[in-house]
Amino acid sequence: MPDRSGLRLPAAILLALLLLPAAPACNTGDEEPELSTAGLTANSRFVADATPDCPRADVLSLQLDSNVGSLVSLSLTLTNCASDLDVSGVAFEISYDPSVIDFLGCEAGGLFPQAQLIPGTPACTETAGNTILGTIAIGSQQSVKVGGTGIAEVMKLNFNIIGQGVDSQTDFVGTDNLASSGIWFTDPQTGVPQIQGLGAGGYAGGRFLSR
Amino acid sequence: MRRAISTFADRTAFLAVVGLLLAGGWGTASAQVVNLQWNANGELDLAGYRVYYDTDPNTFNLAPVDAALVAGTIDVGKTTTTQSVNGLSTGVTWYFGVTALDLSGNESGFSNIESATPSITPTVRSVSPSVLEQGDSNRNVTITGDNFSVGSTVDLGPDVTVNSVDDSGAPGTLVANVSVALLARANSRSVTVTNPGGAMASKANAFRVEVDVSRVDVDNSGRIDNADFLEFLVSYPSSSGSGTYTTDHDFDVDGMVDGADLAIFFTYFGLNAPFP
Repeated sequence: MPDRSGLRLPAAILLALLLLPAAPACNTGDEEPELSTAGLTANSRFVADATPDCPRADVLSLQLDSNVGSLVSLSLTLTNCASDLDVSGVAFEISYDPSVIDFLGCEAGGLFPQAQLIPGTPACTETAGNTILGTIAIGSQQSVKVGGTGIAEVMKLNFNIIGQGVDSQTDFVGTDNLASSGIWFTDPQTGVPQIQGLGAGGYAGGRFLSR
Repeated sequence: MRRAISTFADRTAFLAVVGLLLAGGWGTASAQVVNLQWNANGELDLAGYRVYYDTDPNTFNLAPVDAALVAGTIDVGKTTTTQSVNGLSTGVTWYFGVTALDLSGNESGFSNIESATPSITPTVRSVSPSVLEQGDSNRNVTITGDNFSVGSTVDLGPDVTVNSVDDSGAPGTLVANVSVALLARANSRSVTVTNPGGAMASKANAFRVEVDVSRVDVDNSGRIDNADFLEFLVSYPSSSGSGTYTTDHDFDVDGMVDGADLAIFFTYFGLNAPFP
């Protein structure tokens, strides 16, 4: 059985060892990175569909965290501008094209204290439906608030871009399905765990570029 | 005048031997033996005792002189009240009786009749398959080893029912048909084979019950996902007897919803039905 627990990148960032032919240059618009003929390792990156900002509220989004060659780290970011949620956990499911990107694993972000994480979380796994299903939680009796800026990193997701010349749109799925994506919070009055679906406008994915 | 002297032969048999017991010392790997002891007779013209042994209890309904034609016999001296009977077939019930003989050759009736089933100690070498899941039913498990007797029994631990044991195959092979309870504890177990007569042997950690993966799909949606995790968290952590405990979330059925169940959950996180 494959290890489905969160993976940590080593402190020394790995260099990609892919040997790929140079890709032809092309102009794809202002938000696209300037392309060169240096090949896949120089031009692989992720472009988010939206930037988390306040006063937008209660949004899960994918943001570029780091990009070294073909290795891309994304931040799963929670925006809760009112900082009024007692967040116990986050569940997500994102679609991707496995022929373009290779999922390497996940690790906890800064929102949830490491010592309070439920054993086994963060947990991420690739499903048969070409999605990444993940969860991180600190239990129904504990919670944290997003904090002053209203924006916090929940988890890091690590990928290796392996495709060439194609893109992979990466979106949240099951946003109204509690089995997939949602924010778990604790009702401060009852202590009962509840889940809040992402709903329309409550999520934003992005696109892996491979040129 | 001379007096006549009676020369009638002594035709009076002894009273039967009493107090026949089976002593210790059951079968060994090389010679199946039963040890006997009895109370001594007190007659002055005691010549000795005769031990009878047979697999047919009806033999001891015969008169000793007729029983001697069909049973095995061992003669012992008058000062001996113990006797070992060797070379007995194992897994078969043997019957024993003792008579007393006097100097005239008269023989008493039988003592109390005792029985025993010599048992050779088996060994358990392998078990296949060595893993079944909670809820598996009517599965054949083959056990190999040595010195299995006809009528051997098999034990695979609690909540695993042995429906039947087939010992008609190759020597040293038993095929046990078993069923695992849905809420059998998921753990490693010993496999024990017991021969008729009580000699037994076990092989530790020879068999394992694993979690029925479909139980990890707590909401029975056909996928093990975040909805199942959310339900699981309601009872995590808890132990049997507490208000939030439920066997629905105690996947390994050890009486606790704990880290071990979490580890089981995340092992199968993301899987779709049909589950392995």
